[in-house]
Amino acid sequence: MIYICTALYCEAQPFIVHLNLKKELESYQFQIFKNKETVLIITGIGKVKAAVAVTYLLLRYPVSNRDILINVGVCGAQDRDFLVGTVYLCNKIIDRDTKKYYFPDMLLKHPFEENSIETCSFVVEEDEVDIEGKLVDMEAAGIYQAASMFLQTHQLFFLKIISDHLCIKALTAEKIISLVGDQVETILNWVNEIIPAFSCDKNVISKEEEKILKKVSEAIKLTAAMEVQLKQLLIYYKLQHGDFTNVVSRYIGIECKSKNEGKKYFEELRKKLI
Amino acid sequence: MKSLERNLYNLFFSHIYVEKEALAYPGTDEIIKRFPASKIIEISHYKDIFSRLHQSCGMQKKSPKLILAVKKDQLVYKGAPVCEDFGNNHFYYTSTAMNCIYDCEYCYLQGMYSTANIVVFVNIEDVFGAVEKILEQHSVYISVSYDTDILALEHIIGHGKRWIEFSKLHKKLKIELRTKSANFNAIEDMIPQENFILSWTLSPDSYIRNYENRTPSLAERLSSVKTAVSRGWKVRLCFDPLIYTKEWRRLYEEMIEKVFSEVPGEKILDNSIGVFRVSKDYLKRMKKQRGNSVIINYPFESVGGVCSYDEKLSQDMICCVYNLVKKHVAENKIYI
Repeated sequence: MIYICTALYCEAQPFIVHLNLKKELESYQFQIFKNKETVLIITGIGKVKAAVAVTYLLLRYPVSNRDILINVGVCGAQDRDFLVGTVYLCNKIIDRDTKKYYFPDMLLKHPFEENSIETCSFVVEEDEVDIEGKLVDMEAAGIYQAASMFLQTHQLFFLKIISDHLCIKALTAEKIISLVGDQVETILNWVNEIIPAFSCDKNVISKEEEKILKKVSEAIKLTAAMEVQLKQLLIYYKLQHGDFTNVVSRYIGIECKSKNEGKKYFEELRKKLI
Repeated sequence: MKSLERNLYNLFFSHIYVEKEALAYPGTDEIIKRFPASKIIEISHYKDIFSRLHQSCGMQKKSPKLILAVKKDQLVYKGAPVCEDFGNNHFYYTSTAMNCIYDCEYCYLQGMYSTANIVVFVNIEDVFGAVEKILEQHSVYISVSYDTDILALEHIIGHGKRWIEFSKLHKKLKIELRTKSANFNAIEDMIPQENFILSWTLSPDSYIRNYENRTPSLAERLSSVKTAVSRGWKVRLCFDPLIYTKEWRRLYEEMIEKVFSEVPGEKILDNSIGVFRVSKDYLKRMKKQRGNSVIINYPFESVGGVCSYDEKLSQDMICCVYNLVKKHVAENKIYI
């Protein structure tokens, strides 16, 4: 699943159109749009709202190690050498209030510029003196903190498009739609390129095999500790031979009368599996 | 699959994270100069990136980053009981780098650290100072490449040479540098020191191919061993950790025969033998990182918080390798 977070509807609109996302009618607190592979949430402005929205989203759509989360939106830049319309992948997030730093992993190649971003709780004016981040926004730090409770650091991406040089008077929804719209294809093409990096599945034992394990454990009256040991043995066997059902299936039908008898069966099984 | 990875991932050390305080050290500049294309990101403390929650060592191993930092607090540690002291009193270890560029499936570092990124401490002089303080009280045997592979990083950080220079100054000091690299050429211009031991960890070639990702082949490691021996260095061979697979007996036998057919046993300072062992907590984290590894999913026995093969298998493996090594070197040169 690809999770996209934007603060405003106008930042989301180009993605909604491009990906043909449909509004989820059962979500009341936040606007969510989705298709089969993508869920987009509009978080509202500010890091607290953004953190709440991300938490809401990731609890509603449980994550796996195949997923990625992208925070897309416009941002400001104090330095006028940073051109409006340029997309930045943020490699360092500074929380202006707490002076804490957050670092998304930078493992994958990308076609964007890179720099640091500072998340502020209020709109920063161009004459602000002590800004450490080269870019300025109001959500990234909140999104990182919330999302990193659910996802790993390499699954988080912060893409910011420069909309202004810390003067938002002339910034309209139409302008933002245009800025994001100009980049939506580049961003989504890149997302499609990197998705194969997230396709690994770590569970050696399937849900079906877990059920077999449970049945064997009940049949031969294993203790909880012995069941854990048996699971480890089954994982070890499966990794070498691909399948363990032939070895354990005969134990499912056993009617074991005592724990001592069960221990004998367990020992027998252990020898077969190791 | 490999070419897909090459195309998707940034190069090793594409990003170098540098502590503000580390910027003042000349070593920092020297390292950064070696990576002109890397992005430099200033950080307050290395743990801000090294110790983040929810990192994936497996993913990070595909594009590890370099972190340059200043080592503080404890600079030298007492040797751990699970590590061989080779009969030396006052056994210590220190880490002027943390983590390794190699990617061994069974490596305890993936249980010890929550990241695959590599920290290099640029204030090695402070570590030298701490060792000198201990030397004022008694002799010191110190291992300098436990939680990393200093020689594998030599072209980047040069710490191997620094330790060799340091050993020249202190006769009461004995240093061990352990490696899986074939990087002897990086220190070949140094004069061998009586109190400096180069230790090579050796494994059967099929283990190297299957479980020791990115490490040099046995032939390449042996080539380094031979050159080091011929130049007069004290060399230790470590058959440790011994790893169980169905074919372990044949594979270790073939390897040991190959090793001693190329390197005369009498030229080797000593040899160490030990089975795979790791703390229970580390193993749990290692399995989380590498759920599909046959090696670390072996149903180990846990005794006193240390997981290893059961007593019978451990003894069998150690005895077998001991007897094989014994054919080529004196028994008093074998440590178990």
